[in-house]
Amino acid sequence: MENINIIRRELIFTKESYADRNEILNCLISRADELHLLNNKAEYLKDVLSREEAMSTAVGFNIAIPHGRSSGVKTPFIAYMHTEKPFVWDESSTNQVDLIFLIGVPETNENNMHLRFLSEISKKLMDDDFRDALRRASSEDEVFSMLEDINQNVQKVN
Amino acid sequence: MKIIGITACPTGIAHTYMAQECLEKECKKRGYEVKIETQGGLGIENELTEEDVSSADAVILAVSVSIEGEERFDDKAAVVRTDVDEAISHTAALVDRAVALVKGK
Repeated sequence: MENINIIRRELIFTKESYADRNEILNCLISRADELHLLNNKAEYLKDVLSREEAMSTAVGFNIAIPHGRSSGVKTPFIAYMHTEKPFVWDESSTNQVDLIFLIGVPETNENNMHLRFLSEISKKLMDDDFRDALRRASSEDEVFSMLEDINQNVQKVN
Repeated sequence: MKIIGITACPTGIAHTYMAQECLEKECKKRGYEVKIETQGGLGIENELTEEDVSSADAVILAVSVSIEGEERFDDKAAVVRTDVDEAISHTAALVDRAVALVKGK
C-alpha cells in the first residue's frame, strides 16, 4: 500500500501567538499552497469557510477541525497549530480553541487511506490523554512523530 | 442496557467518527453494551445487523445529514434523534435521554 505523506513536518506549528480564526486559516492555507498541495487556494478557503458557516467545527475540548473536501485541494493534507492561548473560534459559540487541525481532502479521491487516517485521528482527539500529550509537546518534531505514529498504524492495519 | 446508533455528518471526515468515539466511550463507562454504525466518507462501517437492532434497548441517531436504512428502527420504541454535534459535546446528557426513554420516564 502506498504510504501517503498526509502528515508533513512543515505543516505543524506550535506555540503560535495567533488568536483569530481567519488569520490562522490564511496562514495554514498559504503554507499548504507553498508546498504545492493545492490547485486553487481561494477555492479551498471558500470551501472551508462555507463548511464553518454550515456548522462551526469548534467541537469542544478546545479543538477546532476546519476542513473541506474541495476541488481546490490537489493532495490530501492535515495542518496542525497549537496556539499559546485559547481564543474564541467564532461568534456562533463561546467555544475556546487552542488546537487547530486543518484538513484538506480532494473532491475525488482514488485512495481512501487518508480518510482512514482522518477518522482515526478524529477518534484519538476525543481522548483526554492524547490531547494533553499534544499540548505538552515541547517541539514541532514531537507533535510530528505523535501524528506520524498514528498514520503508520493505520497503514499497517489496512 | 444495549444502545445502538448511527453517526453521520455533512463532510463525513471527522465529526462522524468523533461522535462514534464519544458515544462508545460514554456507554462503556456505564457498563452498557454499545454498537455505533458510521455513515461517513468511508461509507457504512460497523454496520448494525438485524440482530443488533432487535436486541437493542435504545437507538441514538446522531446525524446531521439524511442517512441510509433509518427504517430499520421503525419498530423500536426508544429512538433519540439529534445532530452529530450534540453527541460530541453533550454525550452524557444524550445517553441519559435515551436511557430515560427506555425506562419510560
